[in-house]
Amino acid sequence: MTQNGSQILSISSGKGGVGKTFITVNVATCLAGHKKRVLVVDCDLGLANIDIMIGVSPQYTLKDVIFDNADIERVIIPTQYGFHFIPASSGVKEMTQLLYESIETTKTMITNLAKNYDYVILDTGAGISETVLQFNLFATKNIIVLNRELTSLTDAYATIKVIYQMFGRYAFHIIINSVKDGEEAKRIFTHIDGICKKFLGFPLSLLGHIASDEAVPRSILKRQVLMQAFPEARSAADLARIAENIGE
Amino acid sequence: MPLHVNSRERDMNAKNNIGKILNKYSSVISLLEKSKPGKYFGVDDLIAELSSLDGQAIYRVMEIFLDISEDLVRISEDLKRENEALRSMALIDNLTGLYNNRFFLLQLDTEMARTRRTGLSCALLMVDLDNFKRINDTYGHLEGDRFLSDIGNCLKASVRPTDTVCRYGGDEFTVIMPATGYREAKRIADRLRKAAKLLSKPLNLGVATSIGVAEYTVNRNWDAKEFIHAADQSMYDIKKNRKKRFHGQEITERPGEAAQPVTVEEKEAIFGLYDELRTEGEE
Repeated sequence: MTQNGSQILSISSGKGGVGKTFITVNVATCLAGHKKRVLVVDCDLGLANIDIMIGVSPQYTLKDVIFDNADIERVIIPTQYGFHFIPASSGVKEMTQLLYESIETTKTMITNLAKNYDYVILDTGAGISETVLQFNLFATKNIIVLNRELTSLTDAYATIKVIYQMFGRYAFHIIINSVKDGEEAKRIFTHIDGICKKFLGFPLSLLGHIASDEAVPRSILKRQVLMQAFPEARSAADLARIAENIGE
Repeated sequence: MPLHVNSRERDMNAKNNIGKILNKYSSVISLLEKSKPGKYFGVDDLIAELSSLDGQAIYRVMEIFLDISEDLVRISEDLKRENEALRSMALIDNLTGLYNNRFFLLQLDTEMARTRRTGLSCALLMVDLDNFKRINDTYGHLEGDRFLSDIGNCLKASVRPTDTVCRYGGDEFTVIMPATGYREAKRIADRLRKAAKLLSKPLNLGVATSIGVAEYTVNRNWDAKEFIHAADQSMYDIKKNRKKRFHGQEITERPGEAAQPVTVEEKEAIFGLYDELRTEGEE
């Protein structure tokens, strides 16, 4: 919790393509549906794509704020899904190597904005770049997304380990994406939790899982948020449960 | 009692004192000894013996013990006073064997006075360990203490013979460098940092040293407090800057740089899960 009671969540995974952005927009939609004021910040500064996923074409992005001193309020886009959104730019190399000062400036701006929201969700990029780590440090709750792929498990663990070693953070909330069912999710979680306990000395907490069904790729193809496109899908129910767990 | 006696002499003195008192009452003692020849008295024996003596003898034996105990109280008070005096005179830090804060302040005054007299500037290094707490947290306090002691030795071995290394407190050390200017002090500081890095790197906990440098010259109207403050300030600036350096070559300087990569054991544990999941999928 920040001073004024808003929560800043970071969503990271280490490996790319695990579903960070998908989860971000869907969870944001769920929370907004519960009359929560939600701000989503695309912190994947080099290869941003939330705008693509929700079908908006922003005029201004975080890049304009950081490099051209644009007013951050002008960059905020109210979306049709009920949450607000700060887009980032894609393909701007300079953005991937933000100076410490720029990261700090961004953090300060988000802190100032946070007082207008119940939840700020930071969709960080893949990898463990300084920017990703700094946004994780900045967040009040660190969410790590993984799936059943070996590389995803390894990268998620590596991300947790680096954040722990750099900042001493040891509360991580795990979302397991594209699993057969809750059983499988639990099995994957128990194992990675055991590895964390054994090697790092702390447990993880399971925030939820998302079943892999047809609705997920179809919603992405339609450039729509799954919660709205296929609210009856099993994956939509899973996402709603995750949003509920975040709210608790 | 004179302060210069060592502990062995002190023990001898105490024994002699008690011996003298016992001699005065030797007749009673011999009376006691006669009833149990060749044996020392335990408390039980003594009570048994006392109860067999007549009133007069008991009174005299009591007197002996009162006398001895009074003397013992006096001796122990003397010892306590003496210990306190010694402790306050102690100038060595127990853990590291370096000079302690007390000596540091005395020596700094001396060296600042020397600067005013000779006109040669004096430098002060403030050495602080970043993330030292992680050693305690990860390996326990004993290991933390040992690391502090190792760092102490390392600093001492890396300075020049005329420099004085002190433990300032906790994980902070100071080095007083007589007849040394700012640039030379910076150079030595860099040497210390590199030497300390060799010690801290194998721990892989991101422990590093931040070393502040200050120079005292005749025309600086500082007292010791201000001199220490200047070195402190320089150390904090370095700490702050280190956190700011993220890019290119500088990245190797970051305290978090020593973070351990995912180890083979960890990877194998993760692979284990994967194999399990895969075989389940094939079933």
